[in-house]
Amino acid sequence: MTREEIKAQLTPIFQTVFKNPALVVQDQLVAADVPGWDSLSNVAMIAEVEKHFKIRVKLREILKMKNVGDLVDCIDRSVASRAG
Amino acid sequence: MISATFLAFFAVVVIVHWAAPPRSRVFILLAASAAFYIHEQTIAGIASLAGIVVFGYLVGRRMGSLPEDRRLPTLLVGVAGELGMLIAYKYVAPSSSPLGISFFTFTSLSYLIDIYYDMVPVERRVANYALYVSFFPQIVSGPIARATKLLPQIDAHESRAFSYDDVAEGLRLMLWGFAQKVLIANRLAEITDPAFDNPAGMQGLMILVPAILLPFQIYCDFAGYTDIARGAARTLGIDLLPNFEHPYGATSPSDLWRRWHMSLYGWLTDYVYTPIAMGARGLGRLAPILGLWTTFLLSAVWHGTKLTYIAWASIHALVLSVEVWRRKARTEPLSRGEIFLRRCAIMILLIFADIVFRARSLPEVGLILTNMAHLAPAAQLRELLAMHGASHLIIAFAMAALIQIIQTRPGPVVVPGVRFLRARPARWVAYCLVFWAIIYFGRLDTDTFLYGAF
Repeated sequence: MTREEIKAQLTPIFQTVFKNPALVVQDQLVAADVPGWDSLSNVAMIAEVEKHFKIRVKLREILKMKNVGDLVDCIDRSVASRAG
Repeated sequence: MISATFLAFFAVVVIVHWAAPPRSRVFILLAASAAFYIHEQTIAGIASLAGIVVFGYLVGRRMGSLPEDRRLPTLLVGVAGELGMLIAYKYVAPSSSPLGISFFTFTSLSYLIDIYYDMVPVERRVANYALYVSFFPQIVSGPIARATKLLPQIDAHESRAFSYDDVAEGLRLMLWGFAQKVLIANRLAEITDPAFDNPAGMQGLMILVPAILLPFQIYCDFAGYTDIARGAARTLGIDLLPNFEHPYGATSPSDLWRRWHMSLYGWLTDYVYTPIAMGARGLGRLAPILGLWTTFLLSAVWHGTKLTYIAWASIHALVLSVEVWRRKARTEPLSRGEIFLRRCAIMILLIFADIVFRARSLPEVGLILTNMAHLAPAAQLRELLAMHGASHLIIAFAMAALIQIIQTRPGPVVVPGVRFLRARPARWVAYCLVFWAIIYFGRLDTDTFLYGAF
């Protein structure tokens, strides 16, 4: 799965969790740019991402994420290691 | 920090720090921090701070020598050791708790946890680590430093160039901090303290009026302290974290907690809330609620052993839980009317929760609320006026209103005539006027800050 495919699949998840149908996922996107994306809704977002991609993200990785690009990288790694 | 002695000490530190060779700056700040703490504290306090510094440094070095996946036992030893000392002081010998222990313990813990998560490199220079924990502007009541933000500044401090703008901005912040503390908080305390120190005799307006002013007193006291601390640090070329971002302009409970005592709640969010809520993410909407309650109950314990703190934290956790549970889709921005109503609701919540926070016991909370219901406005207003004087009460409410207006405006405050203040001579006249007001109108006989107790 390419990074672009991951972002395309993340967009509807973000739109649902953050309740904004106009939201488009990009690498540089950070929580401050998205109304309603805070430490409370972040939990639901990670849970939905894990369910969709059938992966388990480590707490260490969640804490280190600075933007959506880091999340995409993390999904990329997890999906690849599951496939491998 | 409000005394001629502190100001003289601070002036000497600033001059020596910037005049000395850059390589000696960290040592000068460390010596100043040691002198500041020794002046304030007993032998037990000094030993506790020194203990945290040495212990945290050694645990950090040990963790750094281990691979990431084998650091957990060492982290647990470090956290247990530091939290153990904090809890022992708070619960076994609260009267001998060293000044600032809750703040410097959390500062040290941030370093250990960040090493565990590999977010900061291990600090090898013991002097730099000691300064990180004990830097004098922040040691009494924070802002609680984070290893990722403060340690890199200390490591690079010898190459920080002197900047007139830093010094000017630092001194401006300090002046504004002093003004908030002695002109507003201490004056409001003259109305709130008699009522909350003796609530049995206070009925209706006699307790309601102080209760309305209480959130503004607490805010100006703590925000005033924070501005003095951040200003003092800035003058020395170090940026500390902000603690407040117009909290009373918040339009929801979660918004309030993103703007209030940010250095503590940011710490708790990263190190307590996130691990718990993320760990429980299989529980759906219950996960953040579980995280919230743990975080707020821990924040109550951090403040102290009184049951009123548990009640205060539970009120906020409950309100936040309701917000999380009922969160709905919202694409259009709030109308002006909705914003106004939401801010009123937040203020009512704050008044109620701050009464619980300020009361000395839970039965006293009941007494205050019962007394408040006994309204006889005309007679009680006469009694209030006789007690404080009309001008004092009017100025107190004007100050509270001014703080509220400033908080509800986004971005920098626009003062009428600000164009005029851009000229340097006019600015200096304005600073002198504020300074004169602090000396002439300020209440300078108290040097204690509310958050110095934690």
